[in-house]
Amino acid sequence: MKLSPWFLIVLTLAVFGLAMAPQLIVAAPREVTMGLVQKIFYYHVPVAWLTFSGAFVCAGGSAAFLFRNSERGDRIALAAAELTVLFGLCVLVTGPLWARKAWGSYWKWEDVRLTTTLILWFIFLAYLFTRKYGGPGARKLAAALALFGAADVPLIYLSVQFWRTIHPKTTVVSTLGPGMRGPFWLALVSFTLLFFVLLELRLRLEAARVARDELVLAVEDWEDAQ
Amino acid sequence: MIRDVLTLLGKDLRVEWRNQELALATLFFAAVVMLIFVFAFLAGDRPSAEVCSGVLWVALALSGTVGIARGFEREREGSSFRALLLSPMAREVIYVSKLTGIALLMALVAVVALVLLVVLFGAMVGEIWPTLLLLLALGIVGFSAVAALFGAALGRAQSRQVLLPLLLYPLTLPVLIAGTRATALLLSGGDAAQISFWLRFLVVFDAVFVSLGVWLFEHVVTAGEA
Amino acid sequence: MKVMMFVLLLLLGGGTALAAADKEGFEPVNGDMMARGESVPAPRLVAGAYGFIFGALLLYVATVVLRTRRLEEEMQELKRRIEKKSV
Repeated sequence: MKLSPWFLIVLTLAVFGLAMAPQLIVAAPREVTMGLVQKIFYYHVPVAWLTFSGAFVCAGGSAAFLFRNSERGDRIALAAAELTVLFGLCVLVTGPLWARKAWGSYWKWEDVRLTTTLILWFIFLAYLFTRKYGGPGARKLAAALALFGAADVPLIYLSVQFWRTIHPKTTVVSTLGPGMRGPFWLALVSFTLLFFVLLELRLRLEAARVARDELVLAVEDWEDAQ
Repeated sequence: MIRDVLTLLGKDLRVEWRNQELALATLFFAAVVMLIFVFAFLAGDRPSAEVCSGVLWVALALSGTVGIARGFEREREGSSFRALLLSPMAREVIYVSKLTGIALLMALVAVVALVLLVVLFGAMVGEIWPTLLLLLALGIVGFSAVAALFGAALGRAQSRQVLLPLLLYPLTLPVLIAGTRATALLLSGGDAAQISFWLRFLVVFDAVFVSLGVWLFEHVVTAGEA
Repeated sequence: MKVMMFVLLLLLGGGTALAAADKEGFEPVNGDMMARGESVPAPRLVAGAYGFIFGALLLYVATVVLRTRRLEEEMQELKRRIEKKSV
């Protein structure tokens, strides 16, 4: 596998950041009311941000595929959708682990962000399902699904928020204490770099698949000619 | 354009009028679903407003999907949809006529389901029926906007019978949330401001998804795959 | 034109959601809301969360590398076949 210097630089930075982050997180001050369990947030929030970014990257790639016939856009969309499902799973696991301590139960449907993530996750799971089982004609269909899904996110958020009268109670980034900001931003940047590393890896896989398919066709043609 | 839509819609309605397959199958399915709910929920006391509204919307969504899937399958068998796509008819017209047809089918189901809800579940719809009908109409338009695009786009894709509900339900979840919440509020004589919020929410949803559908239809649905 | 319409729609939806979120606001977690008499120890939850994220990422990278390697082997095999026949 040939690797470009840019890829190596980003990879090094991401690995370095992810290796540094836990030490800073351990050293960061303890949140007074939530205690140790608050430390889940240093990874939970970046992973959640990448879940939603992945969804919009997928929608962008799908738009390029649908309107410009861009094969590369289609491959980016597929790679981003896989990452959305992967990071979404991380969000859906770590969120309840925090909630177990803070709210006393793994899942509260009142939490609009977690519920929205769940629905988004289902939409992109459906995307991957369509790509895998839909057959050759289903790529455009999947692209439409990604665009619909991205447009749906704000509406899902709004509807979940008003679904129950009790409203979500969560801390926001701006309330983080000064000692907590450093590790938080480091984790956020490292995870974002990691996202690009994974995207690039997945794109290579897809490029190899296309090359393989072309080669198979070429060999078949050649053997027919013999 | 409206005349073209009416022409296509008239064609679909005439086809349906001659054998009534879709209407009868969908209505029968809705009735069976309601019957299952009767045995699941009606053990003793009168059911709550939440149960009634849930039964109504779930029956509508489930039987709607059955009808939509069968409708597109029938067109595929006769290759009539492909013929339509090969005709010079504007794509927007085809989309809007399909949307209207699905919405009419679901409206029929909604009326029957509502009657069954009153008879079987003893729901009180005495004074609220105009608002309830408006709510159902808005919800049905939103649901049909998504269903018309994906039902047509699934075309000859593999495992399309499984894919249709998998794509449809996560995307239309905001409609179901809005519909069930507002219906429950209506049945229990709830806050008028909240009901009007859900009605406005559905209007926004319908606007976003009908325009997205019109826009994407020509890119996603092609004669080669229909 | 159509792209602009789409962006506009997205902004419209996002804007309404944000406006609503702003109006409702988020309350910071305070001591009263923390579950009392909680049985699961926090270290285990935190370790579980971090462990899961790292485990999932590693597993994903492993599957991508594995899938890529399998494809490359397949391609090598195909190329060998071509060379053998052309000799």
